Amino acid sequence: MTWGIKISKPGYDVKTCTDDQLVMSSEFNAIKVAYSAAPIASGTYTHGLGYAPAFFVSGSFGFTENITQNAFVGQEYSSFEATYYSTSTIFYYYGSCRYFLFYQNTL
Amino acid sequence: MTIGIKVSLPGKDISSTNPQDFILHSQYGSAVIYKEAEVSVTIAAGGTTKSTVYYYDYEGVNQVTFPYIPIVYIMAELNAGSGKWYSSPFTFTQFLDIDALEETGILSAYAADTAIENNRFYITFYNRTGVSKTIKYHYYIFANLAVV
Repeated sequence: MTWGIKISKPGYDVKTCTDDQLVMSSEFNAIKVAYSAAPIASGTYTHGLGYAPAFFVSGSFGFTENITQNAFVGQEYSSFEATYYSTSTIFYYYGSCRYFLFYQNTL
Repeated sequence: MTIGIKVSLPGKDISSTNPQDFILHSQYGSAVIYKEAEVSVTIAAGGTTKSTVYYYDYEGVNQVTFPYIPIVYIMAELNAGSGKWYSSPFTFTQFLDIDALEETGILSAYAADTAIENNRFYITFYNRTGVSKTIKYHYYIFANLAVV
């Protein structure tokens, strides 16, 4: 027997359910949020993690503080093809957006 | 001493200070899925359909408006039954984008077509064929985490 923690979704038996019927299992890693912000202009954030972290970013429509509409994860509204990136020292963001950096090395 | 829960990866010390060494650590918030679901959308021949999803509470009874715009991730099967699911990024130009060879595409050049708001999201599909198409997309709404 292996020790661990499992939590099933409502209506499923934690002893017999499949992995996708679990809310949480200690057998699987979870992405942990290192930092989150919602800047209103392009810039860089020095994260200090020492590796290029994985991230989610959702760009905004426009460059004001009164953003009411964001894009889906990965979708962006600049005229460039790639506007967000992470390195071992910084995360670069283009324009207004909301981003999450994770304690998860991309390599 | 701080109260909490942490589970380390196999072979990693529970007293490690590296967050990457843990499957679960209550000190660090994890990305939490608020809701996920699959949606079917029918698009008339040569036409467009705007699919809108409003947010509801956990019981699915009352509509909710978040005090923020949540993170939403989408995968779409643009050619019905193909088993090929596209993920964002959805690009500007509908005639040059990566899904140009599929039967349907996504209009994403304007916020009126495809965007996320604090009480709903919507996504607009177009049909480049001469017959009606019903396609599916799967969405994940991530419960937001406070800016730290």
